Amino acid sequence: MASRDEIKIGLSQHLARLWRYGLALSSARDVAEDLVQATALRALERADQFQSGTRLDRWLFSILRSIWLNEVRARRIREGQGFVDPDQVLFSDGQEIETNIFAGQVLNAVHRLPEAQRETVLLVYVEGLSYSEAAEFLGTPIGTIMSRLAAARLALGKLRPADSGAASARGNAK
Amino acid sequence: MIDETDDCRLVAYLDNQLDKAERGAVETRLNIEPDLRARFDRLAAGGLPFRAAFDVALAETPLERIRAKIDALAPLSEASRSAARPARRMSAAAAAIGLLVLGWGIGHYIPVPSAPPLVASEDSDWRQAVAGYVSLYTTQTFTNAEDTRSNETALTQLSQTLGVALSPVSIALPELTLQRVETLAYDGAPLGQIAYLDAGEPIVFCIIRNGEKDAPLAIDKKDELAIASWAHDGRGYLVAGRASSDRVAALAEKLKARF
Repeated sequence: MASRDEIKIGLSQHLARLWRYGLALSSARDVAEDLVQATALRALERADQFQSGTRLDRWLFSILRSIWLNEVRARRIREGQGFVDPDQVLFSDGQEIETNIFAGQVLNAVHRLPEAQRETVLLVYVEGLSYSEAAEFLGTPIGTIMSRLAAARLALGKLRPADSGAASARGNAK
Repeated sequence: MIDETDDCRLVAYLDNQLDKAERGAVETRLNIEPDLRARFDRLAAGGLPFRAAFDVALAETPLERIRAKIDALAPLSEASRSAARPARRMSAAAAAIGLLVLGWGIGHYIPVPSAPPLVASEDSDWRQAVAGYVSLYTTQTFTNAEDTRSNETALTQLSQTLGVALSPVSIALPELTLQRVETLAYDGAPLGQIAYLDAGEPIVFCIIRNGEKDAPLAIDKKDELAIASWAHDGRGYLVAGRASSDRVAALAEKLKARF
């Protein structure tokens, strides 16, 4: 059991990863921000449910996921905001982005994947969860994790810079 | 004929999630089944640099705004504000160990936006704590230092956390080689540390965002360690290493002019 203030202090170390997870789920920066805020408040309300010695980041991720699935996504779909133009999501043109053209392409391509695939890609390939950890976190069989990753890889296989060249691939991403 | 089971097996192979026997079985089939090999190549091509790309996204987190919102809605209790400052009563060595443990516990690709400063620190405890553990550093300390890209990612994160523009260029020092970039915390305030080697001797450059008052460059000598420190715009700065006071002061002057 942890105190509210322990959670608050620990929470501050995971805000950016939570935002990134929220962005992977929602494909929208403002929604990601709201998700992190709601996650923080929910975690503080439920601080007594956190078991000291277990991973705070996983606990926070699961809270964020539950808020997304049960509250935010449901509401967005109800209000007809379920679809976001992936090209609007992450990177607009700007000097800062010029240095990361390929990173922008990868992110935008991932955001064109179905939600379940991009969430699995984030958890396994970015957050570093093993297949079994990801399966447990998402409450799915390991086979589902593998088939989502396979589908994502097949969809993304065309984006290799060697195949396209930075300039033309950037044009295509528009 | 490729089915979903094959796809799953190939992905698990690519992600190194198969045991030796299973890997061998996949390799045998890849050698004799051109269709499977073609599928494998397509799946392999989809293995993009996800982590590096998403680390770029991480640097775009509107951390200040998120923190401010959370702080406004759920401030820390007074009891915790004082509990968050235990180092004041700890020996420098104990504080140093605390700092080190925190530093090591943090994966380099994971951003560590520490809590905002709880209270403006008026004394030099953080400098003593840093001096305490830097005096333990040796040439070998950075043997497993991060690669350049990890350090660049860490610098981007640190820039956000500390609110200062840190880049490979702005922290470069002639004759010194960059070793490791870390985010630590002292007394609830984020503390960035950039470590270099100067002809084999460790030199550290630290920045803490603790709201301390502006102070001119001052040089201190503790045993073999020379420590140059100053404060500007709510941030405390420190350069320390087992070198002459003149050498450390000269490095500090260079950095002071940039921040």
